[in-house]
Amino acid sequence: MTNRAPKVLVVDDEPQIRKFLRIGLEAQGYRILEAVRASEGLARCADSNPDLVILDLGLPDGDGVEVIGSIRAWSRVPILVLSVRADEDEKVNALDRGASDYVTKPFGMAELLARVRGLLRDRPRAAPESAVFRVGSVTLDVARHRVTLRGEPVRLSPKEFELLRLLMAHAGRVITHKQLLREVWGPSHENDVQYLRVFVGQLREKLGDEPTRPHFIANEPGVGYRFLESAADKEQV
Amino acid sequence: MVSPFERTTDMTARWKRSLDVIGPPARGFAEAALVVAAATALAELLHPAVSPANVALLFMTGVVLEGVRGGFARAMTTSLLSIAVMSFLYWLPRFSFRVMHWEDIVTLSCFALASFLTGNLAGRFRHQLQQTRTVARRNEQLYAASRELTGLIRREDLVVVVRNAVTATLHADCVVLFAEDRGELGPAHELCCELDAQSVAAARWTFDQPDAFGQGAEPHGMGAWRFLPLGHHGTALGVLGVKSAHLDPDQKRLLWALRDLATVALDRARLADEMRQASMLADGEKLRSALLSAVSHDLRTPLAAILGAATTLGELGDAVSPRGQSELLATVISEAQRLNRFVANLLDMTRLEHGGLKPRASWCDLRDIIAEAARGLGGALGGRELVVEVAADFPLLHVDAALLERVIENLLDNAAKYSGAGDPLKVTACVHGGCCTLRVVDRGAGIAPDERERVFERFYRARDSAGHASGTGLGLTICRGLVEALDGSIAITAGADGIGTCVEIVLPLAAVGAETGGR
Repeated sequence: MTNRAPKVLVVDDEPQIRKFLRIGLEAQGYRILEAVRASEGLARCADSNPDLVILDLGLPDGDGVEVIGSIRAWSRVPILVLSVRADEDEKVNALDRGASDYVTKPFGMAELLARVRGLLRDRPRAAPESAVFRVGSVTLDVARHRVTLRGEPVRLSPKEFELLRLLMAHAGRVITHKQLLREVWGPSHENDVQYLRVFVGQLREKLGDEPTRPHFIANEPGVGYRFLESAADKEQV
Repeated sequence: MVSPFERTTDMTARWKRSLDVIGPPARGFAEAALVVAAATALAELLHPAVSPANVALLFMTGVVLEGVRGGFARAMTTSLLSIAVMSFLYWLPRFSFRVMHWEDIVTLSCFALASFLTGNLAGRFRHQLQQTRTVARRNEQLYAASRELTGLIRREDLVVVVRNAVTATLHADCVVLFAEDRGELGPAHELCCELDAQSVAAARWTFDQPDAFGQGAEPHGMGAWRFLPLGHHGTALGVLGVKSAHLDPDQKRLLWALRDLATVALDRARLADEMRQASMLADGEKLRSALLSAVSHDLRTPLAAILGAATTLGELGDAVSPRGQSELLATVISEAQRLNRFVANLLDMTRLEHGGLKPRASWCDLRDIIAEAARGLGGALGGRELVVEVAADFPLLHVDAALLERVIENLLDNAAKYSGAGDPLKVTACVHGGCCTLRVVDRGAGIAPDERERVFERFYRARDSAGHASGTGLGLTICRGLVEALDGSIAITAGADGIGTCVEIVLPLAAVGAETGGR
């Protein structure tokens, strides 16, 4: 294992969960740091500068969402949230406070690794505005304002284009309804989820995506949307 | 020997009995005659000292007395008798009823007028006194009934009090009928006598038409019974019946007063019942939501660990080191055991709540039970040393081994959860005063004295425990339930030297050694 291997900080109070995360992530070549409590997690995050934080929302000594807020005060490290709660509001809250993505317990190793990969891949992208995104058979050229599916051009309205750009810029990551609405329609439309339903429907149609078995845009019920980037992601939907 | 006093009372009683026999009017006359005779005797006795003119005053006293005692008629009777006696004995000519002197005629007229007035007044006074007494007595009875009713919330008790009050005040049989589930009217108590068809119909009508009865209205009924509806307008709860064909206005008022009391009391009983049910529902709701959150955490955490470990093994396969693989397998096993314990606890809780727990006692060795409990915990003890101090000659216990094992397992699980990684756990047992005392001791954080009883409550978790380990707050509740099912008791004290926690179980030693072949 080299020093270039990404450092992952796991903050969870359940020793058995920490154990399998450590074994599984180490087997994939990551370096693992562990913390049991929120305070300890914050300290490790500050002093060892990890590349990714995996954070359990149900910590014994503090609200996980508060921990996210504290980390976000000085760091942009990706945070993957683990939650046993099936409560969508909780997840949305965590994502709005700055978490990068979430996994609901119980989860399989493949799903977790896909999320971890997605979050770590985000890092080197410097200027997404000038980039060309290529995910699977879809290509999006920001500068030329052009989208192709399997090489064929797809005609999109400006809003549809902006929506797809956002989703593809964060491919593999969930983006909350609120984030999408704020970016595309503006802060005054943060709660108009029906806009999203309509435009995502149109996008799917133009990309030839099946809503019941999506290849590109997956719905995260009650939370947001995710642009799928690999077979591993699709399995988990 | 019969003492003179006894003879006198005996005679008085006999005289009273004979007065009873002759009936009230004759009895009144006899009493009047007796008073006049007494006045005459007194006048004769004082004859030289009292002038014949003043004798009239003596007789007037008798008239007033009789007026107060027996009313206007008695006063007039006494007055006439007195005039007859005075004219015969004291006015000239004596021993004749003729009145010669003007003076005597004036005396006679004044006497007659005065006795008419005093008799009238005394009679009225007596009537009022009687009425006041009756009212006071009835008020007292009503007050007693209402006081008795205030304390009661059970419908059956209310019925008894209401019936007693009606019987005591109206001197008549009483029935209370309530609406049953299918809208039928049924007696709320054992019937003293059968209601005839006509009365049943009258009761039914009363129940169906509660609005036909304004406040103070005539009770309904044709035969021997009269009925009033119980309950407020539109919502009859039942009917109150009294076996009396003729109710005077007073009795009617009384019956209404009792009906009102009964209605209020019944209303209160109904409200209390509804409140109890509402709070039971709320309790159940609270339990359900607590159970739900407990299940969502404590069921999912081991599941998450099992699923995570298993998928890591399955998906990463040989990328995981052999040591890592065996660790993951150990995780799967210990978490499955934890799940199993959790499910067993939930089942125990359910069985305890529904009273489905029936201990099956047999002779068993305590050390076997402890060993079995420790084995069931497996990895949950976290490699801590378990010290078992049970003497070799410890008697066999006649208990349900499975239940006791569940208790010890829960206690050891707690002890391991709440103590440091290297701290030893200890189980000791001794016999003392016909009881077996079993102690599970740890050297962990301990439980504050004010919490030692509360931790047995459902879903209660000690203040510091939340930071330590996962738990439902059911373990100790279940332990207490199980120990009590075994006729024992369970309590918490501080551990040795005041460090850690000691859970003490006391079990009765039923007929120790009786069937052990003289061990």
